[in-house]
Amino acid sequence: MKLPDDKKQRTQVLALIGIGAILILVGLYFGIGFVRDQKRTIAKKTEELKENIRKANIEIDQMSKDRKVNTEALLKIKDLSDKYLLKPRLGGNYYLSAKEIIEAVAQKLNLTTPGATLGISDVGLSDVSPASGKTMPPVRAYTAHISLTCGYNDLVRFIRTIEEDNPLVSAMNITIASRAAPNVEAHSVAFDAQWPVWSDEAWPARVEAQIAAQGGGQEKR
Amino acid sequence: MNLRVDLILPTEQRSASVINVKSLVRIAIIVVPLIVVLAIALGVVNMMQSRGDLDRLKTQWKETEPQKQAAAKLRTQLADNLALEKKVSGWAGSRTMWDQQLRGIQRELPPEARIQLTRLNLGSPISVAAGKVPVRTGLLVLQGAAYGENSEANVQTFRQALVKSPALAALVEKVEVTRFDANPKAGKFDRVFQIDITYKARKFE
Repeated sequence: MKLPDDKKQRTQVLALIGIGAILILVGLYFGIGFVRDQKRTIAKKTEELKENIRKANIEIDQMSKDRKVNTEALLKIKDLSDKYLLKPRLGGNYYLSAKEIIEAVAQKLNLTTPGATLGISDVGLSDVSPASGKTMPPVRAYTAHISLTCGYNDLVRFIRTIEEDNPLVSAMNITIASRAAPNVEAHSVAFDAQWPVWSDEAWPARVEAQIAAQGGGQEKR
Repeated sequence: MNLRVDLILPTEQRSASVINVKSLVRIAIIVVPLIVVLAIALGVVNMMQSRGDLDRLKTQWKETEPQKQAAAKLRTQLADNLALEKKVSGWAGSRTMWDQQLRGIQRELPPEARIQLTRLNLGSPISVAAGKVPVRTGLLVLQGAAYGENSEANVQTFRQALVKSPALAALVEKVEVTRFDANPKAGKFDRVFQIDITYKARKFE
């Protein structure tokens, strides 16, 4: 191809070639840039997904171990609940349950003789952990007040039996006052016995439902 | 004398160089765009492959995400249940076996010391502070009378015995004689006293 001999025409052809070249270069620049940006975006999303899948797989692999520990925790809660948490009678009455336990211990130790005057009264429910917002603590305390006249050794045996029968019950606020002669061997004694109770009576059912959902304590394979 | 005869016209003259600029320009006009087109095509193919990989990963994530959510739910449930188990079994950790404490006090009272305890009072409230594990505290107050010339020494000996008592030592923070006064109803050397035994706070855990 030969450029025209006319200077004006030659300049026009060269200008057209220059403009064309510039347009091609600009197109190439933006085209390559677009492809490069797309590749970067895809690579970034791919890495994020790979990382998410890796982390998720670690959590999924942990599931069988978590399920086993969860079942063990639930069974322990159920066991403690069944054996040691004080159960209400007749729609939320803890006093009757506490009275029955205390009287049984007193009878076992022969502390219900006419002179012993065993008295049991209701102190009531109290919180043992601070309420956090709208969440009610799952466990509260029920306290009964016990008073009787007995010897020091009998009192020690009484408290020991209550403590040994239930590892969660606490004797507290003990008072021993000596009496005037001739009754110096028997003291006026009083103490509180405190049991844990569920703050919501639906808790045991919830625990059982969770155990059932986990396969009734049998680990899922 | 040298004579140069040049019979070729200027328009007919050719370069003696092996590399011809015009040929190079012609080749470049074909090759350079070809390379550029090839590079773009490769980039596009590469991008499509990456997009395919991304789509496969998205499909895998769709299958994995529900399992991950189930695992997270189980982990939350586990944490809640472990905390609940700790709260319930914490009752055992918070209590003091008061029968052992009463027996320990009885054992440390020296029979020859002429000390008579008249009153024992234990306060063991639960302290609940926001954001902290609840604790049981304990203050056991012993009131009594000491008789004879050695009443003060006997009360101090009793206090020391309480401090060293195997039943009390590990659980007690301090043992103090907080009152030691003349007994207006008794003899010249007889005294009334009060010993305060402060127990270490025990956490519900």
